[in-house]
Amino acid sequence: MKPICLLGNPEDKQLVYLAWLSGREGLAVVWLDEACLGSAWDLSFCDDPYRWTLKSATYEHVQTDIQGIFVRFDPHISASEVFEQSSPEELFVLSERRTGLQHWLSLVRQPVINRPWAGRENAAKPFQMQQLADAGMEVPRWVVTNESTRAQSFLSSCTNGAVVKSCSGLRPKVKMAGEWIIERLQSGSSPVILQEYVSGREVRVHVVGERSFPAEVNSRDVDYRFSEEPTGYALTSLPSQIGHACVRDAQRAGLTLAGFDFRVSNEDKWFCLEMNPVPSFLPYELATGLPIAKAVLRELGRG
Amino acid sequence: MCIVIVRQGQDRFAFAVAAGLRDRGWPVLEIDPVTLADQSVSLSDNTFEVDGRKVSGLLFRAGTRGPFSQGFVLQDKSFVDAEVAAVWMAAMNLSTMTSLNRLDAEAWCLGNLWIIWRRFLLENGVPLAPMSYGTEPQSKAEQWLPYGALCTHVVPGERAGACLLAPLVGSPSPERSLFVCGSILRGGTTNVLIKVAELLCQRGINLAEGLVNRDGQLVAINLLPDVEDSEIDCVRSRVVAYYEANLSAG
Repeated sequence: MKPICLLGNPEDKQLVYLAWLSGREGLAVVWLDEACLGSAWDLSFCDDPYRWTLKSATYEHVQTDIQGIFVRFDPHISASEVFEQSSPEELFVLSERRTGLQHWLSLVRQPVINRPWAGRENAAKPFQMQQLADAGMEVPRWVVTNESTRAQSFLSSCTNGAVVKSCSGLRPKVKMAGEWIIERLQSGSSPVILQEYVSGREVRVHVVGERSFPAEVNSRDVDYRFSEEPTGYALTSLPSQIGHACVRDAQRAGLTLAGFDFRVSNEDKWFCLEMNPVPSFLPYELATGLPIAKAVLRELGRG
Repeated sequence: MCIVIVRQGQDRFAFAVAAGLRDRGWPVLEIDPVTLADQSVSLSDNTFEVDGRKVSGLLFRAGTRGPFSQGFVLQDKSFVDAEVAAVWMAAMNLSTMTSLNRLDAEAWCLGNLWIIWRRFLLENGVPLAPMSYGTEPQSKAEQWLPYGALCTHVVPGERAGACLLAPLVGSPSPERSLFVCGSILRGGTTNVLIKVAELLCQRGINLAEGLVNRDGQLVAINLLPDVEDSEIDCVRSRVVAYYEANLSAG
């Protein structure tokens, strides 16, 4: 059976878990440690005509030899040992190498989870929320502004309060809005997203191919990612139309694996907050037993 | 209602477009990209406002990664740049917005990188200049075109080239094609280049430059071309007509 490739940092827990599961499933793995490109392993390719070769001291694979690639780039990688660490060239090397790998991943004809171009709208939350609404999802009312009067007016219209979120893909803590945000905007600020708060429960839905895996998130914090208390995860049910909408939207974005965040109101109305194109599914799988990684391997095996 | 032109001080082409639009009676707001974070903006319900004025047209003649945060302290700059970029990317993609180049999420996030357009054109069956990545040079004529650059350099050493997945290409021509609103206003007019102009236009790219090799084959696309002084009048009139047609229709 052809191997799959795992590309990224070999210390990444999600990659390690996939490698472990691959072994249990009898699937061979080729590790592609990004930091060691050009030293431990080599890649060369052409885009027209399409062909590529992966080489190391122990293997040589061409474009027909693998089933699929799972990629999880590390935002904090180091340059390879060919270049001195922290040299002026380092940033340039990292950027060039990452871009080259992204180009290759865009061209590879086997399944890639995920293609680097897919789901990029996550870097602009207002754009993504517009797309989620266009896809038929219910999205809580929002406004982007750095004008205090506009913000005050929006907050006054939110009977359950509102949260403050960042506009980009960066991850500062989501907080409940209050007088503090008005004061901050008055003193000069970049724009923020103010979004109507939905009382209820939080559900993360992972999509893998055409399957969806819902897990309820139990936390008393507005943003469980930053909670100091342990976060609980539990199996939950998912209305079929919501599951179908998630699968459709992931496909529209070109994603095989995606993570959708929902708030489910006390009236059982599902509001989509955002879609993550690089979701960490491990805590959800380990706590609930949802077979997300197995579904990922199945998708990689379609190549 | 107004048209926002994001431009650097020395961009004579953008300045000419602003003047052309004002001559035709359109209100124009010119903003230096480094001050974007200082603007008062609001975005909701398919409406984008700057300083309380609804924006219906946008000419974004700057890199999409900043810097946009001149007035902010150093430790906040990278965060603010990302936040401001997110807002303007969303604004550019509103269905109510007319933008000369409409950058989708991929094009915006990767900045002005030629790999996006090379893949796009290959997927649409356009034959391009041969290019190899991470290989040793096959001839002395080959040069290195870094992913983040639009001009070639001497080929790096073997190990460095392997680390960088260095893209190698034959010698480029000094002449570059200029694509404006689906037409070619500078350079050769081969069937392939005519097709390129049409495809870019279909994807919302109405101003771009093509790097070609000495055989006339397209190597790469640049979305922020310098428009030469001798071309400015001609390009400006096309661009102003583009805004007029689309804003009037909207």
